Amino acid sequence: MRTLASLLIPLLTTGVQDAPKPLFRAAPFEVAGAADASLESVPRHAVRTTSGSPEKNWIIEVNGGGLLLGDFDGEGSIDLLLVEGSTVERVAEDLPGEPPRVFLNDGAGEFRLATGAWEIPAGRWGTGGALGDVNGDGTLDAVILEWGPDRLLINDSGKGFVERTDDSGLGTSGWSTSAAFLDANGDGVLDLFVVRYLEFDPALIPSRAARECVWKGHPVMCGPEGLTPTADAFYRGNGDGTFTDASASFGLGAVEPGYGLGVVTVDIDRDGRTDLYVSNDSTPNHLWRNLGEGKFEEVGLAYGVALDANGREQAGMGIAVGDADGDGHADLFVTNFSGEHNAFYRSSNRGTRLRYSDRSHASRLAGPSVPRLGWGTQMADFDQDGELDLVVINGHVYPQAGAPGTDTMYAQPAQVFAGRGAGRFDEHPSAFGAAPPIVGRASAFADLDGDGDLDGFAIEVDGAVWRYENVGASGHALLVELGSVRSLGARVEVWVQERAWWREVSTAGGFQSALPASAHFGIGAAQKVDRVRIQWPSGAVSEVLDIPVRRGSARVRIEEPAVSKEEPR
Amino acid sequence: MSSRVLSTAVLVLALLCLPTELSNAALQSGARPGGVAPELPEVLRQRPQDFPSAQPERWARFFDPAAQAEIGATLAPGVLDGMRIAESAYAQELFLVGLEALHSVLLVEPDFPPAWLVAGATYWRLRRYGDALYAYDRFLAVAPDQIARTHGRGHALYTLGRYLEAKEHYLAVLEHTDQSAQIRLGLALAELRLGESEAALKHLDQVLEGAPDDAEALAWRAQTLFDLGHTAEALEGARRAAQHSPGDPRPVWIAMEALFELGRDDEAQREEKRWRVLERSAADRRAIEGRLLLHPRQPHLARQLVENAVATKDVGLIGAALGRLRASTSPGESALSACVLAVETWLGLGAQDEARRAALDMERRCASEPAAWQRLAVYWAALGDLERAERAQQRYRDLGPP
Repeated sequence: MRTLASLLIPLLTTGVQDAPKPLFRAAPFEVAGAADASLESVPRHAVRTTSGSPEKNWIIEVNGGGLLLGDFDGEGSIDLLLVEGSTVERVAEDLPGEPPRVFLNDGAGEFRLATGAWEIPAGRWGTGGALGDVNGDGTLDAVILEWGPDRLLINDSGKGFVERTDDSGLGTSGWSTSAAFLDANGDGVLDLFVVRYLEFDPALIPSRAARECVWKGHPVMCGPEGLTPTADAFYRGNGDGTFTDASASFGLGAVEPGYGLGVVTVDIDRDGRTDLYVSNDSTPNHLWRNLGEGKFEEVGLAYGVALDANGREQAGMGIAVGDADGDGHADLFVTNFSGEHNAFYRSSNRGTRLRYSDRSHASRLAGPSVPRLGWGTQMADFDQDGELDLVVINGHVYPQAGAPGTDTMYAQPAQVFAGRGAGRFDEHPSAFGAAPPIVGRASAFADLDGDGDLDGFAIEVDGAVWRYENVGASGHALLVELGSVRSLGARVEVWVQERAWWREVSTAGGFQSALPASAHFGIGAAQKVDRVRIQWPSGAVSEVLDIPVRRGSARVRIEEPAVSKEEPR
Repeated sequence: MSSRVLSTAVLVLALLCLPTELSNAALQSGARPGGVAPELPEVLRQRPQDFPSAQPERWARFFDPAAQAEIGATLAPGVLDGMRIAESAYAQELFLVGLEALHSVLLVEPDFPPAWLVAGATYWRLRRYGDALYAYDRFLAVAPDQIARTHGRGHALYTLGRYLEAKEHYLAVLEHTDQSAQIRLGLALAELRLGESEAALKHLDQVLEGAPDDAEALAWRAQTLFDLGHTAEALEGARRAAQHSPGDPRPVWIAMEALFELGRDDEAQREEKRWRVLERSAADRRAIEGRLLLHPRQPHLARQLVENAVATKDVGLIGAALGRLRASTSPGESALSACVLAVETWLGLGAQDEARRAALDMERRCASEPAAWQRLAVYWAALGDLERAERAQQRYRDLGPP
């Protein structure tokens, strides 16, 4: 007689065989010598970050640190600059926080903790950062954002970072979260937009222990509501590695500040000027339209990207940008709080002008996000089938999540939404395989192991940094790398037979993160890319024809030409 | 014993009619601090999962009238009293009291179907959507043929973002019940969220066939038309919805979106200004309602709600706020002041019918208060009912000045 188990096993096996293959293999990021062995819950060599106490008594402890991906040593592979925080007790004693750490990549995806000239002194409480070549020397410099003075690190010819905060023109104190480099005025020099959160002073704000702030009946840390938001800042680049605060002429004084968390750069209206989209927590998101000469106007409401479909402000955390419906205009995706939905602002040209509306429901992105609290997110073709996908890293702000009546959990699974074309998505049921839920925060995805597909990192607050190796990309890919400081804002277009795609080059990662200045394209089963065209911000145009795709991926590096100007700005 | 069982059935039927509207407010489950109470009441620390199942088969024939005598004979003591308290508490929006009563019932009769059904509705009103879903599931586990009574389960699924399951549940409910506007509205919203705008429009039209002035359905219809790209029709629909619900910012928001889309920027900006005022007021209202959720008897907050509603001139909102204030006050001075506010609010708005009803209510609630009759004499005169005014004056004289 057959047992019940013997009857069930074939069914179970069938189920396993039918489950979609995972897209990512998730594992704690392990680097010899970089680990803090005091944390028992993660492997011995796992890299972890500090962000206050696990109890989360203060809002400063909640958001976690930052992930900046770029080629710092100029060896052609993507390195990592990891930014992390401190503890309220250390700040109270005027002690520095944890230092940012550089992890250099050997090209095959093996990282080592960089020492010597790459060692960066600790600031007060690191949050995120931005990457760009601020002095035009061809190497990647970094801005580290802090609760405290922001910092500028100049890359010393790929040999290490040198701090140049003092005479940089940066260093405004406050709580900065995310930042973006862009050439706002078309002068070929990078400018900097810094997103800032709120005025935080533990001496003036009650701690969770005071039980003054309540969420679903549970005492939690206070904020952001009830606290004072801080205005964002804009710094005009001087070209020599220094900046001038130009917030006033930018137009920042014309709007009420929000609780800023994320930022992306994108030419939203395709007028050749880079615009900025800022996600604000519990306050309307801002869309800064570039008017030229360093002047911007805030048009979030008029463009339909400030609020959700019901006209309500949401928790605005991370941002992803890309043309998900293939209409030639960028669409915007914003992660939000649990109980809210992640907003997907799709462009439309139905009327007489470019407008956006929150189409998250019709796009099938809303429902699966309601129980989750999203942070880091990125829109890219992770499975390389020719359609843009979305990755969302989740985790609640309150350790109390999971208590009775909260309808959510503190640790949450990350999600991938596979693009189906026309702005529609389906949640991948097993994108991260058997990875456990984490209290996720910032994330950044790029080709870490040189195989052409997109891998990534995510920060787990009070836990490990997680590494996601892409093991499920089924199609082929083209990676376009752009050389110079002037590549930010370039529009890269790719043609394969009847299909065309485009990307805009940016290093702004959406939430406390930075990405390489490159453009990744999934091209399905194609063996050849017919044409690549780059419209540089300067007006110059580059074109490369007939790129063969061998072993699943191709990589081209394109420098800006000196001539062949078209549509000068 | 059969009369006892019968009363249970009556009780259950009454409770099945409990309103669990899929209101616009519930669509946004407030989720950040500024919350509901400084302490989580004990009854909410318990999870519905804490009540284990025991002998669920006992209730297989609960809804069979022929079996009621037999079942009633086995009911544990206190079950009926507990259910009566739960029903009364629900009607008065004293949800914590109701939940305590239900817990006491479930302790002695772990699978008692009416208790789980009412618990579903009560958890829903307490914005504990996962618990509401669990309660409905427990009900259906013992009474699977009673799906017609569980449209609240669809609401819970919807609010948790489980739109496909919500749609399937609404459809299943509709197969077993009369054409209910509330269920059709829920179905339409689930379809809207699933991107099935054409189907949503069809079901919204069915809701509006029975209730052409349903402001909520009108607003959702406008939203659906907007999603479908019928921008001019969406604008028209939004404006109609705004007429029927002038305190709701959402139709104004949809109108603003449609106007921007149509390139009528000046008009859109005017709507935007209007929307800003309404949204601020609605945000204040939501905050007050959040504070009243667990502790509804707070007259000062109820009074703030009335002030907020009066500023919108939305008759529906004003009526609801005055009703809350009425429920918050006990006989005596506080009841009198609530009655006075009601009559004077309606008189101030020129709403004669509502003012008349409020004055009649004042006569009933404050019959022993001389001051009430003194004022009623003035109110009735203002309403042109001189006979009642004279009677009120006489009553005042009979009772003697305060």
